[in-house]
Amino acid sequence: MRTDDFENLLREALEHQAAQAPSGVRVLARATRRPRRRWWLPVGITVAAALVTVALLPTGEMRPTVEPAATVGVTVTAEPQRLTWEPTWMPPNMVERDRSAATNGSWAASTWANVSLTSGQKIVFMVNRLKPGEPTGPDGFREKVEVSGYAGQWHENDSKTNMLVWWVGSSRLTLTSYSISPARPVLLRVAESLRYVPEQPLKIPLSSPELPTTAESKFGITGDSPGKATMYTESILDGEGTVRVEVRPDEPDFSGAKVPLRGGDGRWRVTSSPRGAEPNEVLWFDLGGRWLTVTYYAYDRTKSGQHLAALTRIAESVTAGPTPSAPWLGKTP
Amino acid sequence: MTFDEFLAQRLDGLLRYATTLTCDPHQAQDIVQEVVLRAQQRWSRIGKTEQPAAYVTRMVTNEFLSWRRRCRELVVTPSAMDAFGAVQADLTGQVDDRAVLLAGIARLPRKQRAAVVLRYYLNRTDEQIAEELGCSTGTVRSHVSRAVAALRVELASVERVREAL
Repeated sequence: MRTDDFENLLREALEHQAAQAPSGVRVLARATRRPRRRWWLPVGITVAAALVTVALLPTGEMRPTVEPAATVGVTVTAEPQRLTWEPTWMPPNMVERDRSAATNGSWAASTWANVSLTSGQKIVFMVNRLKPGEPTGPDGFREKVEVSGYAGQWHENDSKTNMLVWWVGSSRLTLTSYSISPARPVLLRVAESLRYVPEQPLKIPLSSPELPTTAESKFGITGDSPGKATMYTESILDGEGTVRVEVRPDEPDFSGAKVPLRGGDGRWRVTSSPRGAEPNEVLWFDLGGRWLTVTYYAYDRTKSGQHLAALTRIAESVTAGPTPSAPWLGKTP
Repeated sequence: MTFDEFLAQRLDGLLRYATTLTCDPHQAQDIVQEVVLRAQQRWSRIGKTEQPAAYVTRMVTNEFLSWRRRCRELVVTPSAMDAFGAVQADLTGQVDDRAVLLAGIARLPRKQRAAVVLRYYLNRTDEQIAEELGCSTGTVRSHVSRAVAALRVELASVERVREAL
């Protein structure tokens, strides 16, 4: 057998072997149960979420298909030429409920859902700025797809979560669906409906010198309607848990113990409930018509109830300006 | 890139790579699961590297090599061998070259197998394979050359069986 023939046969055999790979469901299931790690020590790093602007789409290679509309984007001020996109089509009843961005400017996202961010059907549109060395196209392991003339690939992760990924210039765009079936035609239609919009940076006047900024820190605006907008900033603390600072329009809907805070009385609640959506610890304070909440979600719930002092330091250090207008909240495309 | 996003994009590829290394989907899953959990714990550092995917791929390679060391012996599960087919026993059946090759790959020493997979599945260069395996390029060439020779012998024996039928 000639060398070329032998090598081709060998490659074909390995591809066949690779095709026998198991589904990633079990691995994903275990990975989502995050391991317990040590608690973080608050350091005096200022969260730069205030007035930070992050690009929703840091590239200019895609042509606009319709006239720009007055919607959002998030960009880094150092890159003023950035363009953004917004979907002009979503499945029925899907409204926009969240816009967020990485504090370090590496990504930005918008989330659309029919019921809420934590239940029902959901689609997340995310734009990542490619780092040097990151792939600029399909990895060859997935089914290739073309999105508006750009190379992409289809990720069928499990029965509920699917992802469409494609590359445009120096950006990687992803559309992720949750509980949508069939997902592929829906995500392709959303992708092809994206249109160019002028840059309109997301600004969040919320800062806390006591909240560490990590590689996974983010900030955003969320809510069901423009009149119910909540601005937030969030940091994942070395795998130990997540701290989220919010300024919200209504008081948290549960009772708590009275604690001294910001020269007055705050409330503190600890729960060890196994319910996933419920935070472990919440500290909240009336800002006068708005409520400041500092929430800690521990990955290890046996560690809850130990962070009042740390949460208090964060709450004491928070500076919050007016909640930005968010006319897109609760709206269909 | 967040860890969740990394997983969503790379998990399937890691599993496919691990399956070619181990020749056993179950073992591949165990290896990738162990690697993923470790990567998750270290993601604050891994996520800052220039190529997190390459880093985690190397973790899979190392896990495969150390996994083998822990097992001491080359172990190919009965179910995996069944999938390859009983090449020598079934002289009357049609012998499939691909099955012969896969069975041969499963019998290769671990570093030879890793070198073959890196060369012919991931299309890595000698230099890249050397870096991945922590050896010289000369050693890589030796691994690949010996592995290919062994696989060719396997194929040739099947050819002789065919001719005899």
